[in-house]
Amino acid sequence: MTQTGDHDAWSELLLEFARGELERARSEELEAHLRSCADCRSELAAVRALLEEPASQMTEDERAELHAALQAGSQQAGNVVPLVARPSSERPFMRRLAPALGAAALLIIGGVAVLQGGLVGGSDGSAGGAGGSDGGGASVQSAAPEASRDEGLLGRPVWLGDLGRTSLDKVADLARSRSAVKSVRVAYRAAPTANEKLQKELALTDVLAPQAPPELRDSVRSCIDEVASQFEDARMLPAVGARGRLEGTKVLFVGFVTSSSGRRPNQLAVWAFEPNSCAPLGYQASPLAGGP
Amino acid sequence: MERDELSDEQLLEGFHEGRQACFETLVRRHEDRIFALGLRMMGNRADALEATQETFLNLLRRSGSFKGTASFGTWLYRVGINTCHDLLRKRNRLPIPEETLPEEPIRQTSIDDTVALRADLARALRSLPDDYREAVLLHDLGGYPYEEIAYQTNVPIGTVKSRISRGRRLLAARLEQPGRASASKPHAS
Repeated sequence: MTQTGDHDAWSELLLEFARGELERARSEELEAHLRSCADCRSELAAVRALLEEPASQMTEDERAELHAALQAGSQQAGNVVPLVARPSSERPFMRRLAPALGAAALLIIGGVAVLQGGLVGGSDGSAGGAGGSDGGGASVQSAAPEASRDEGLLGRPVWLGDLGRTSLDKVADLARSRSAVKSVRVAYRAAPTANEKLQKELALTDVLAPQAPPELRDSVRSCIDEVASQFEDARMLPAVGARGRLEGTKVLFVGFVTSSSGRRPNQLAVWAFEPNSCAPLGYQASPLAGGP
Repeated sequence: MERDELSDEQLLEGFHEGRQACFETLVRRHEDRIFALGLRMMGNRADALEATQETFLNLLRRSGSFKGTASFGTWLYRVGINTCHDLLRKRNRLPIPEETLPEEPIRQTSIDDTVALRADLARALRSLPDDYREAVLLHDLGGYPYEEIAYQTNVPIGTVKSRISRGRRLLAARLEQPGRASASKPHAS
């Protein structure tokens, strides 16, 4: 074992050595061996390269995104997993609101509640499950209202209202400020199969359109279908809708989270349509932060 | 007994019996290790997060295939390795196309250094034979003992040691020549 020429035996100690866990006397023997064994030096370099990663833990945002996605995915699989985000400065407020407002009110709050709602909402609807990360899972499952499940499943496109005179840039900025965009991405990514991703894409319209004024609802559906039919190979996920005036013309805006390269959706594309004909009057696309 | 005091295997059993909170505890217990694995295999944080998510979704779908005769942690880690590999394969990123790599591996700032080195490491890992990569990651990054890896991968312990030793040397060689990570691959023994 201590023969300096016994490469295989020394090789087995390299991980402990690299972690600083090897006892001192043995470390000194290994260091002596390393001076004469190029193979061990090479192996040690590889081990250290694997271990050297200064920021390999998830950030709180990444952790929250993971939990929201798993919650949506597990709901789809028929399991409700009450993954509750670790405390942040914002969430306690939503937790206090949740039991009083219920899932429907959280939907009205819309963009503010989306990701927090994805997590708080997973246990919010049950009220009793919001007490912390150790809240009882079984009771949450039995009490979770159906509406809450659907929201987590679908993501939450948001109708932004009547924006008056505006521009594509302003609509895009407004869309980015709403967590609807993020919720749509998360929910889409949580769909386990291509077919389920397509179903989710189609279902997003059913969430967005009813939020529009009654006279615009058919237009919302038609214009989304129109765009989607022109980009069959791309993912077109409606995330926000609005109406307003673009250069003096009344238009319908729809903001899509889109995929530019067959990979996961990583762009925000805002379209302006003539509401009756769905003729495109304007278009703007820009990358979304955190995309590949 | 508190959930945090339960073993992985007990938590999985609880999950199978319908206690959803057991799954939550399993996620929290393993998410950082799987993310760290994803970061090295995928080369960037966004893809590492996606790989972590997919790994746990695979756990949801396939937890019934865990036989309970070996360590759940090792089993899940292998699911993570395979998930990363599948994601990369789907994207035709085995190896990374040259045009997506940093032009100069070493930059001036520490952040850029980290990103460049991470990309080099991910590319070098991808260039290893599957069996070598799995053995190296399980042992050197996952920290699993030779015996456990031998059991999980169903090969003699001598083969595990050989794969780790050879895999490390190949990895070091590829890291020294980052531009040649996609060169010819030896066959795993």
